[in-house]
Amino acid sequence: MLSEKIYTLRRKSGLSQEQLAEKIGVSRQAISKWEGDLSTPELDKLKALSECFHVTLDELIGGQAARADNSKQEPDGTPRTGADGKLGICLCLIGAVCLILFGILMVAQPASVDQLNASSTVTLNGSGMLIVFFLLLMVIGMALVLKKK
Amino acid sequence: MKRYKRLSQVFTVLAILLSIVMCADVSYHYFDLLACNWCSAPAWVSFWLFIPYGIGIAICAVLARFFRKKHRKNA
Repeated sequence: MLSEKIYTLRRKSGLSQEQLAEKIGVSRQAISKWEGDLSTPELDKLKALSECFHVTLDELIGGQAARADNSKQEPDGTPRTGADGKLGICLCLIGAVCLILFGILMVAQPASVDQLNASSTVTLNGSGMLIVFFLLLMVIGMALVLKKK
Repeated sequence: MKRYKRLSQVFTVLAILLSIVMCADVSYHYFDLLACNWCSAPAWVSFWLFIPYGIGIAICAVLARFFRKKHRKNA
């Protein structure tokens, strides 16, 4: 949206609303309204904005169309966290929380961990397998989050 | 975006919690093995517990840094 674009470019330029308003000859309230999407700047003000931010009018306004075409991108151009990212975050959170809870259980209730080890099939250490499983969840989750689109 | 900031904070807290639990677990097992007369494993075996917790802490730290960077880029 144009309002977001104006806000992002102003922040990137390190200008306050007052400073930008002074530069292009409008009131601070006008800038606030543009950024809040309550009104849209006139053509001459758009031109002044593009000159102030050193971008073309097409970049200032046309960027909206490009963004609409590519809705999977953040304002900075990085890929937005999609379904895979959300799943990855969930897996990491579950893995980390389970690892913490299991660690607390090992100290607080060692008898239950011994029971788990005793009930383990074959000769594998039950608690060791659980820790590996939680870690595996976290590794898969991280891979999903950091995966490049 | 606030969401990324919150995620960064959550993973930072998880990394800190994991490090606390790691210290508690390792010390508990160390003294448990030290006091165990019939155990064949030496007490230093409990330091193996550093590995899974260390990996978990590293993953949380990487994700916290990743989300903090994303938050700063979008701010």
